[in-house]
Amino acid sequence: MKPTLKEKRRYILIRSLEGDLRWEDIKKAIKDFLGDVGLAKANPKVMEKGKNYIILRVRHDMVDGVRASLVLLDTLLSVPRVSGTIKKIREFIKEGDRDARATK
Amino acid sequence: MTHLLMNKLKMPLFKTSTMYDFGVFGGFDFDLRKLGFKGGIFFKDKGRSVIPGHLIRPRDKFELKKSVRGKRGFILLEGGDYDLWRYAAEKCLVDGIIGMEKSKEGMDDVLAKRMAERKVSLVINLRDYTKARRREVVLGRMMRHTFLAKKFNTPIMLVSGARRKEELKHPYVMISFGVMLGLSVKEAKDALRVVQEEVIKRFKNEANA
Repeated sequence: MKPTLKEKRRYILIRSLEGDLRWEDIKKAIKDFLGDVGLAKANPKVMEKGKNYIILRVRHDMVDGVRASLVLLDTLLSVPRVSGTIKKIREFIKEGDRDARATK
Repeated sequence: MTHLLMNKLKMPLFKTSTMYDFGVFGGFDFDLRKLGFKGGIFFKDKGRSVIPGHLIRPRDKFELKKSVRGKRGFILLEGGDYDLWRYAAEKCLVDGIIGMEKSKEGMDDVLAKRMAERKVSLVINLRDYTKARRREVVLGRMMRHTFLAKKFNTPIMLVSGARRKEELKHPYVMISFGVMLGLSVKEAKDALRVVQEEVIKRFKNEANA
């Protein structure tokens, strides 16, 4: 397939500051906010799930919609980074951990 | 690498660190800087606020005049009806009006124009949307208000309206919500920064005078 015809994706890092972060809750929030059509269009997929974070893959033009739908969650979370590659997100997480260790 | 450097210099890690949440209604213990904000207004805890905030809920014009008398800082009007909002905007009695989406009347073009002339902000509360029984109706009104505010250059503020710690929102989530309402990314960012900075500046000038 031509590169221009491929779906452009973005990776969103969602971090929980307190409490659990469940994919089912996030999916429900996106469905409530964007509807079935929006959810299908965004095509979200969990790429990696850690102790207190989730890396979500979505369509590039639905980043704002997916991020805005997080207002419906009753969890204290932060969305510190959106990237075009999962590698950069992983580097960001590693850097953050290193920073946390350095401050300790 | 940049993060390590910023950490050494004790600089904030977030680019959002110039933004404010001017609508925290709960009296809980939380540092907004953890979320990336520069600060905010806690209406129930004046010690944590960047400047004092006053949330007033008058029933009529006389009560409104009485409740704003002698108050300094950020005055936010909640509740009331169209006539009260119009009066408050025309007399410049408040800094912002919140919760207009809850009412069926809402803001119209005339009120938007008056608010723009007198620099009274349209305050969009995210909690009004998340806790509404009919969310789609509230979201529709928010979109209409945003459209009018953009058209008549009414200042817009986005606030979380959190009553519990869990209801606080990350600045990027609020920016995205603003974009969904019809603002551009720049306008959404400004809704968390520009008016707030003006209010803080004005308060400091008044305090020095």
